[in-house]
Amino acid sequence: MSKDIYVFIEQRDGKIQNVSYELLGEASSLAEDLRQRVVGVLLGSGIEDKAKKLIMYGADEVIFVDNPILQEYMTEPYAKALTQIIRENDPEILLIGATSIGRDLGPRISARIKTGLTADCTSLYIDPETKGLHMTRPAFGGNLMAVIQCKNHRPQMATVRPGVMQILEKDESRKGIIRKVKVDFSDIGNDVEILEVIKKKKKTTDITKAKYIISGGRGVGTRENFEMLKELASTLGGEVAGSRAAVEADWVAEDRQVGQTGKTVKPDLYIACGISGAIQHVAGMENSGLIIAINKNDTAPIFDISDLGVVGDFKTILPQLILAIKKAKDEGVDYVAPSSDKYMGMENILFNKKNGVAYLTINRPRFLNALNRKTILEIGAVVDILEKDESVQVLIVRGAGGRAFVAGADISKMLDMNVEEGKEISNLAQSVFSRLKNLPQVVIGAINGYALGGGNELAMACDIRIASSRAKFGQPEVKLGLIPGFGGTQRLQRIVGQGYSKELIFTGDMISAQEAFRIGLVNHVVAPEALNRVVNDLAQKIMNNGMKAVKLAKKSINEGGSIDLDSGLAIENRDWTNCFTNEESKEGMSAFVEKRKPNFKDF
Amino acid sequence: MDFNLTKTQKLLQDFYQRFAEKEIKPLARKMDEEEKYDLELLEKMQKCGFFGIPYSKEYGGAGGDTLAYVLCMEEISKIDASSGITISVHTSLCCYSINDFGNEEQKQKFLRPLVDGSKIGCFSLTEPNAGSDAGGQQTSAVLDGDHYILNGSKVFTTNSGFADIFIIFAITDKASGTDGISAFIVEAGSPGLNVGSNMPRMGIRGASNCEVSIDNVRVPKENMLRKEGEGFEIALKALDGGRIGIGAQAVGIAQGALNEAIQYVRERKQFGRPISAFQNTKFKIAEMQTKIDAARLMVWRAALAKDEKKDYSPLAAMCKLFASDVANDVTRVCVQLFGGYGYSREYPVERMMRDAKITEIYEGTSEVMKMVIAASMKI
Amino acid sequence: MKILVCMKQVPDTSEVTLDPITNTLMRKGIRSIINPDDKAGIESALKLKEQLKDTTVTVVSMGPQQAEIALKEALAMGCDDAFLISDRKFGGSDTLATSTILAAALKKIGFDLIITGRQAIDGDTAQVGPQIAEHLGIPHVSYVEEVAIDGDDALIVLRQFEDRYHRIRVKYPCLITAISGYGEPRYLTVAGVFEADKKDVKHFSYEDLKDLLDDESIGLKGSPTKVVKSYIKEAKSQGTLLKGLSSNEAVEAIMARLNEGHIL
Repeated sequence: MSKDIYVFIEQRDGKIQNVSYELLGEASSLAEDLRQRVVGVLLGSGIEDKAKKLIMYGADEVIFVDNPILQEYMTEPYAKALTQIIRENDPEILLIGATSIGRDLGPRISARIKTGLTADCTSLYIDPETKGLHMTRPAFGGNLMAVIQCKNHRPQMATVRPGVMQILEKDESRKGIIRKVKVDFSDIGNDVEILEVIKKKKKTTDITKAKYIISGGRGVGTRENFEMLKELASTLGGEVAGSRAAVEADWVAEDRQVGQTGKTVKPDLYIACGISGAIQHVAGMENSGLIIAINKNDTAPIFDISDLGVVGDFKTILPQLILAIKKAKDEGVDYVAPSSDKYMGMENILFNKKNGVAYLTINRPRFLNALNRKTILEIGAVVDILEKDESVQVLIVRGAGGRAFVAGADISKMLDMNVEEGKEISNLAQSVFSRLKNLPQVVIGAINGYALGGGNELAMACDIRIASSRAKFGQPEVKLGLIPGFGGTQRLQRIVGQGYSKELIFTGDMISAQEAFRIGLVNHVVAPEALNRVVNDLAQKIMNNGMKAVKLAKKSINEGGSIDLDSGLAIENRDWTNCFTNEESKEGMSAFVEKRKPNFKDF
Repeated sequence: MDFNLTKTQKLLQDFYQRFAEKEIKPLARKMDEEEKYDLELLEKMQKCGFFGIPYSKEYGGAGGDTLAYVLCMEEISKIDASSGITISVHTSLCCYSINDFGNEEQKQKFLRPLVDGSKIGCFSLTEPNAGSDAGGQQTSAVLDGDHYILNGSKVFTTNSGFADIFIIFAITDKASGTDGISAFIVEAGSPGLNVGSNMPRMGIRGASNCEVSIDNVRVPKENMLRKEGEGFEIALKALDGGRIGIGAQAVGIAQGALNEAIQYVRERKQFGRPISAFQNTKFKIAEMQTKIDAARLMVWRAALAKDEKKDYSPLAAMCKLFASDVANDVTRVCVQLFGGYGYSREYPVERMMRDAKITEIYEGTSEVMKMVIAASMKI
Repeated sequence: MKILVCMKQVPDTSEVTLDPITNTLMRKGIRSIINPDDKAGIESALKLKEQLKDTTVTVVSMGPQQAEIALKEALAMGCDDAFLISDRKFGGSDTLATSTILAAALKKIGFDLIITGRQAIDGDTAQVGPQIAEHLGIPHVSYVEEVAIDGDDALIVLRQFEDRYHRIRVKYPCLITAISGYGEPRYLTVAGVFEADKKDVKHFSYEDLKDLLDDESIGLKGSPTKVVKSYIKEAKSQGTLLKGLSSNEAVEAIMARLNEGHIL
């Protein structure tokens, strides 16, 4: 029987390539779904000591072949070693990075083993029914996404695009097996011989690793104008890039080309100047975090995919923007250094606020953000602050790391609790979650991964829940001989009804984000990389409205949730009346009558 | 009867189109503004065989026919009419004169390098005082031993700025009127042959078009095409064929402008919807495409007649008369569809409108075309 | 030397647009071209032909009858011979089955060197070249930028990686996969087109290759991978478009977003 997820570990000069860590992370998640193990296959020369690190990043076993012939990549020795390992171990799945090495080795192996290979995947998924691997890849110049299956052949092989999958948090305590395998290379002839290894000059920065990218297209016009983009990039600490037109005009180097024929990037910020947004350019940058486009032509397709589009001339905007950014940085205005994210000595959560939005991030990624007493107390402390902080209108609750929102309560800490302590922790969590629910602010849960047990209960204490397609939900307490204790038996039935609530709690089953959406547990399911953006957009959308009204509406809905209709209507009547006591409603209604946009900012 | 192109013709058309889009398009505006043809581009076109399309392989040509040549003229002119005329004057005036009227020696010596892509030719007929009335030549050629000595001046000589070989018309016998005109092959660099500066023009500004002064230029006797006094017939025959190329150029200019306009009206939004959604736009575009198609079919008809060695002179005149009118009409409407942007130099349609005008003038004005057509009808 | 070049006719994906209303691909009117990497392969082969006496270049394509025009184009570039492999039985082949069929055809034609493009722009898999080499039991070098002849029995090629190059000596028979973008492939010539007009594209069907093929390894049956579904990428939620701002206002709007996104 085929089993386990194998990952080809790519090393160059003994250095493990990032894509391999990414694949270990993805393999861990697939392995969980299949209840199988992750095996890294490391080929190289003098690389034995690297194996341990692979385990820290998710491998349960590392098989390595150490031989001088594997020093530099050559197709045949690598193919021979990997084929031998596949034949001896019969893996269920084999993942290879879609690099110029992986895309050379992969097809050679697939033809040798006679199995299917799907190239350049951007997403992998285990079909819950067949347990087969669904591989999604772009085709037709990135215009079309195809989902591909390899039903009857094993291993199911995929090369995976670098930079797409998430690396796990390093866990030095992880244990695994390290196994050396001997391969006989004596029959490798001299048909292919490396005469020389020429390293490319390191001067060229890899734009795929840049956090901020300032990119220019045909509309930049001249090489001199491109200098402006360079200055903005250096002011922000980012890199410049260009569309094919800019590269062809020789304004920017070829290795900085973004798009179907260039690099695929997903920086936190992508500023496009004078780029019309031809589809093949968009294919290379559309997954960027924040996309800002400046273009003279208001019909430029780039605006269709940008978060903020400015119709105008970048030549006049950029110099001022550069000054503004320099000023903001010098004065430290609104600038939060990463280290200052920790708030008031809190250890397990990050808290910060910006322009009316606050972020509460459960930050114990190594423990999948499991809730312990201290974490709950710290959430309580944030609630204390927010109850009094009128500058914050929306709170976003999320989990750190790529895998979990909150995977549950910290069971290892509960093992030794007595009855009193058990009661106390439930009381504490229930009261903190209730107060969170009743905050004047709108609370949005951004659920990026596991929301199990206490995690699901925390999510349910949010007003609105948005899930990444990777998220999974469940109340598995009965599997431990417990019942949900942080509000699960009560809040779940109020959201999804008693019937489904009982099924979930009685079986302890985990459900997918899609299923959670179907039953109404979450409002939307979005691509993992889009989660932050969608949640931020939602917050902005809400904040464009009269916030006094929004808060009153929240109050009215919350109070009415647990009482009969007539009493509820009385509450609504009370809060509606309340609206007329403030200026905000006057502004809103007069703006409507005067056919203009209301200005709620001053209220 | 068949209106379809063959696979080979389609392949050619596709090749011309791709070349024009990739190589010429990025330079067209610059060449227009700087009033200078890009010589690297010229060389690329020579390498691809654009300067010897309808000439036999025997002399180093591509071995094609007139249709293959007009397809090239249309596709190139869609993007840049200046490139079109550069090819046209070389091919259908200069090379034609040598190919059809030169002797074997002249063909080997002069035609071969012209059609194999190593040399560029031009055609010096028009003089300051001899335009439509080409018979009013004043340039003279006087026999002196083994040479003729040429004196005079020529204007509007396309390609003259970089041409290697000139066909120069001059009077050998003043008394005989047009029957006293002879045609000479003159090599660039001949002492006394001086090419002046580029003539500032309204359109086809990328093309080279200079005054040529001829000051005691000694031309070997054997460089005369045919015999003394046969020059005027050579000129008329060359212009007959040339008009098919100009017709194709006009079709190209019109189609190029229409293509730009179609793209623009799809993207441009006014009053909340793309302007292509307005009936006025749709009707205008339908009318224009219909006229262009009619002009193209007339061009093809003339080209086929020429290849079939039929009397193509009136057909060539008709296709040029009609196509040049369509080109002017269509480019004007296209500028209008673009509105203010059409008038701006950011878009190419204003250039195309300026370029279109010359097609009603050179190689015989529209009025001359009507004379030719009427004469063929014995009116 | 006998060089075979594998090529594919592909839609020019740089011209593909999405219908803004139906959000489907507008495939109509898209030009078909020779896949750019394959064209680079043809160029490399023609360069070798110029350097090496008695060298022939044969192009081979698997595809529908319409692909003949692409093969004609290759002939017009200067290739000597062209083969089109076409049969209903080959339909539905994934890369593994395609490479199996191509390998059979190449074997039948005979070769010293096979050149393929690195990848096709419609599929972007980069798999067929190395898979052909494996089926034929010959070495391959992929991602090749430059090719030079070395003695009587080998080539020296420059193999590109993200961070380095390998200069590799590889003996015939072998397969290399070429990358476009390093040196423009030559244009056709008008004369070349008329030359190509005189040459016939040769056709291979299942019948011609069946002695070298196992029915279980071609077409749908021989394809381990199946496309379950395909879809157009989800359109992103509509962003904000600001028009008619002064540059001050524009800077303010951008700064607000940079702050919001914790970039500043």
